[in-house]
Amino acid sequence: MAALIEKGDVRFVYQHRLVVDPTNRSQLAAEAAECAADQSKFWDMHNKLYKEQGNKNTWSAAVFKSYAKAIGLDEAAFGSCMDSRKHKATVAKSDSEAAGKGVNSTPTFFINGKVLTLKQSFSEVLQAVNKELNK
Amino acid sequence: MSLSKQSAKQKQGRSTLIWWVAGAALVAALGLIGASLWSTPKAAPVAGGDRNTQGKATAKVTVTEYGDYL
Repeated sequence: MAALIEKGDVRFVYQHRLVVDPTNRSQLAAEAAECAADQSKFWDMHNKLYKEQGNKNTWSAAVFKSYAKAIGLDEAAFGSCMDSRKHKATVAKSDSEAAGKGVNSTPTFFINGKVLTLKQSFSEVLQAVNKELNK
Repeated sequence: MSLSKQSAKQKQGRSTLIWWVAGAALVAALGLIGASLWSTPKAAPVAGGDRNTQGKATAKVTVTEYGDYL
């Protein structure tokens, strides 16, 4: 996928859909990604959160602040963003839009606006992308 | 003027010329670097929906993932 994005064939968008713990950890994790985006580091935090999924039971604002430090964010700005819940509404809006599209499980992919229900693995996304590219 | 003194003066003159040429080249190089930095378009600040997006807007295929980090 990265190569196709690099080549200019694919545009990849990530949106929040909170299904596991929508009022607490899912919401805060999404806010952490948005606060990192304020410093142009959305994808760094995104990758960090996936990498740390094994520790998800411990996730809290304090833990996300430690992740922010680890990926080299401005800690004060990130802390202020998290403490003020600056992106609470941003995340809620994304979640609400996803719900409106009938997204009830994650991950759910849309390829050029058409929903793709994964049966087994991510390779199905690549297959669907290649199909679209060959149209 | 003796030959040895003349030769020493010529050498000194050549050395000064080399320093002038090197200095001028350095100034020219710094000028070019400065001009290049000045004229290079800076990446636009990431804002709005673009912050969670990778790839060009002109891409043939848009993949949207709805995810939960948990």
